[in-house]
Amino acid sequence: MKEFLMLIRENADYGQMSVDDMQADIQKHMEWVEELIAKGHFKRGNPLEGAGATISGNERLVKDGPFIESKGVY
Amino acid sequence: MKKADPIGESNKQVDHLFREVSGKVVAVLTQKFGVHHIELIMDAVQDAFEAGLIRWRYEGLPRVPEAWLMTVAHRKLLNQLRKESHRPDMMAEVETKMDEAAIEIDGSYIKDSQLRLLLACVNLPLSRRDRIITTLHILCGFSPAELARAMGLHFEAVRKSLYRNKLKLAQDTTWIQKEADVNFAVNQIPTLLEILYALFNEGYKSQQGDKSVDISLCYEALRLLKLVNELVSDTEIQALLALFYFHLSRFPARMDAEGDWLTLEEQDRNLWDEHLKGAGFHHLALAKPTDTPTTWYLEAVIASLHAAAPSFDLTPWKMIEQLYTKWHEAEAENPMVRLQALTAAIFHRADLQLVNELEALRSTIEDSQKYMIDATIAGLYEKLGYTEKRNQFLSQAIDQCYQNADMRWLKKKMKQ
Repeated sequence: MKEFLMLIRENADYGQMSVDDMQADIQKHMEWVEELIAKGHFKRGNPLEGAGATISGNERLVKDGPFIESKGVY
Repeated sequence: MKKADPIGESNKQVDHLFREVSGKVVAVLTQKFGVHHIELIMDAVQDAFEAGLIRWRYEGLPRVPEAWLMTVAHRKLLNQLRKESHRPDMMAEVETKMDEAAIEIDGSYIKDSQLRLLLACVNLPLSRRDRIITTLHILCGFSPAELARAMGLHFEAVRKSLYRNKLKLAQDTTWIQKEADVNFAVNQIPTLLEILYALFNEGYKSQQGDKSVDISLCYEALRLLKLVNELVSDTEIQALLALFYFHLSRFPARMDAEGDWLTLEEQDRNLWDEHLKGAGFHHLALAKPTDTPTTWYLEAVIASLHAAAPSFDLTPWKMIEQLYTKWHEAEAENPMVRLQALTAAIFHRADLQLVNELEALRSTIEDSQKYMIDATIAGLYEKLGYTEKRNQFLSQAIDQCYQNADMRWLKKKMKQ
């Protein structure tokens, strides 16, 4: 990767997160997700366009993605 | 080892260049001459690349191929417009643009043009699938093979779709009037997200040719997404921003000095970029949906779990599997999502039953990705200690793999 120079022009300072900070942050998201899963609330990737339209319009059509598992583990 | 054939090498470089530059050239010419000339513009850009290919075989690549291509495409377009300028409606238009012989490629001009073209493309009077295909083709220079893989479609289906769309766009030009209509674009956020996701993915791991990673495409997708984020406020945009940042944070560790893959397990996590990870968490917090979460959000949460895991062994695989399973329940049509769930399963509940589940995916997965099934089954057998079986599936994977870095990785694995 040495041939790339990464320039990120961001004004925001996100600070340094410790592992604990990250875990705490994720914990909040996980609780949220689990709660919603328990309630059965879940929808596909494209809710805006799907309102009132056919269900199939809701699916994500791009099937390949930057999957960490298939493109990093095996 | 046989010395690389110089023509083949320059072909590969041009393939890569085409993907990276064609969208920019098309965007700039479209802004200057109008979206209604998109057909002629695409042809001019294609012609310029072909001319470049022939010329560079002998001379090598110019110092700034982008500028060369912009100039040549511009000249070819002008010639074509001159030929057609007997048409009264084109006369005045061509006259005014004819004088400006050279075209400026100022950075901000390109950026503007690309956003405008992106917003125009999501207005195409086509089905959502065809809009995504056509935009990726026009703006991002995706080849039919790349499109087939991205969309999980057959190569022939993509070619037919591109051809059909071309005819349709030539007949129906009403979409041009809606060019860069921000209000309309707001309704097209799902389509925009998919396009930028596919662009990012192509850079995250290029599946064809030599260059296995093309970070410039990833930053291009990020840049466009940030511009869209300035126009529209939306939790899904935030989710995708978070996802991009989490993935980008791992780039410095994904390959060794020779350009070979380092697996997630082998990567030095100290090289993961803290600032980018921080940006990921920042956007993930903003991505929290007010009501029902979407798969974009789930995907970002999965990426955050990897980003926060202090080591490979401490990765919460069970949770990751559950999230992918949830995603797959919402999108049962996508076998790639199921493949990720099963891969995660290997790390917390490996057993032989998983082989059948992986095999069941084989018929539904796009052809060029089938080797991933074999590679994953090989990984499962390795985990369970079946060396012979592992090698059998590794060699099956090698037979079907056309991605150079993956091939090297599989062969290296075979020797271990």
